Amino acid sequence: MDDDAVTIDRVLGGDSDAFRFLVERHGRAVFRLAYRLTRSQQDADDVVQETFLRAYRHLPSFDARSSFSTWLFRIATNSACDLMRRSMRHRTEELDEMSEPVVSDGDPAMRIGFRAALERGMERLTGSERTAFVLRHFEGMSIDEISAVLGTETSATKQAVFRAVRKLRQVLDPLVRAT
Amino acid sequence: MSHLTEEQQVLAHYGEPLDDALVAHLESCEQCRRDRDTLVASLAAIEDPGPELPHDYEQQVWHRLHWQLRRDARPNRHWWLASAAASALLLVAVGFLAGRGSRPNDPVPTVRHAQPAAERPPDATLDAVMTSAVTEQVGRSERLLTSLSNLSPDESDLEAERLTAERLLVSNRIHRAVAREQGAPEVAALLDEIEPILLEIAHSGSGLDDSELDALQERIESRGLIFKLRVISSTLESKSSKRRPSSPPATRL
Repeated sequence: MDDDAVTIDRVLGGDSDAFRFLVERHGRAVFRLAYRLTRSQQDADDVVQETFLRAYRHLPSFDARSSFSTWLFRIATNSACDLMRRSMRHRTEELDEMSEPVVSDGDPAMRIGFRAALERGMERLTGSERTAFVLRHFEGMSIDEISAVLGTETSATKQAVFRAVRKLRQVLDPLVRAT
Repeated sequence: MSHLTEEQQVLAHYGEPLDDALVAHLESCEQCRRDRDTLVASLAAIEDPGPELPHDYEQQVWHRLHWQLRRDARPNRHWWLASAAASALLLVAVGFLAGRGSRPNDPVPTVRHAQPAAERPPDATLDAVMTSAVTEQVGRSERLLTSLSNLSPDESDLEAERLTAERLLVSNRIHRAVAREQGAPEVAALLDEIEPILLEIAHSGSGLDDSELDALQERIESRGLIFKLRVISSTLESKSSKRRPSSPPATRL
């Protein structure tokens, strides 16, 4: 039994404070995922909070045979997608708050260009494309794991990753060629 | 042999296995290798570490979460039963006291049920129990409505929400009666207002279609139900904490 399984048993057994260990173990990763999906620190904070609340409330339904982090990521992804669907506000004013995508070229103008291009590219992605890409590219999850998170067939997940890459390349390739 | 498609290149880059023939082709075909190198360069440019988080970020999350979880019972399937049973007992107790108060020959007639709320002793046991039970009801209702508001049309599985609504519905009627009896009309009115929502979810059967979900979310939002629940919850929470200054902090979530 791994650490998560032991902790979950404790929580379900009545030691509710043990839930803290799950928050400490996964909070940062959930934030990172939420931020990459929502592109907003404030939204990501909300998603983190909502994710752990939902996880706590539905902990009895967690199937211990699967990975807790995959289950948690699925909740976080759903929460982020819900939030993105409802959040119609324009993101451009938040551009300054965003962390910069790091490129090997240290030219500040080029970095700003990459940053804006990446943002434009991400805006073009559908929810499932963005999620699949973020989970594969940034989180390093396998196609099967992403399928579990999204609740989709493997072939659909592959398609989502591919379509995301294609759309991102449309805006990034010209800059890459220019470096 | 034809060249690798862009999709094959992308999936291969992300670790999906290629047929032996495609691997061999990739090694021998200059154009495919060039395409691969361009793809790798593009994807390598995308790094997004995200904002720097404080070193105690996890503790901050827990701190915020703990306050909310404290109002939640243990994550088990029987909280609603205990809550409803406690409320039923409470209602019986209220009825008993009210009955005593109305008996003509009672040597010490209580007029508790007729007293305005403001004149009641602030630490009355019955009030404290009522506050605690209703606070829990309001908190659970708020979380259910928040969860419903956050649902997207593609989330067709409402079984968890349906069960929660079903259980809240049972206790909602009892808590509403208690709130009225205890002279808390604003709480009773709010519980009254959310009851049709609970009813709809509890009877949603296999779920709600897109238009039903939209209509429900619109009703929740237009009436500001979540906000009202939060205000009442906060007021009750504050009232409850003022009553137990010397008691140890609750450790159950």
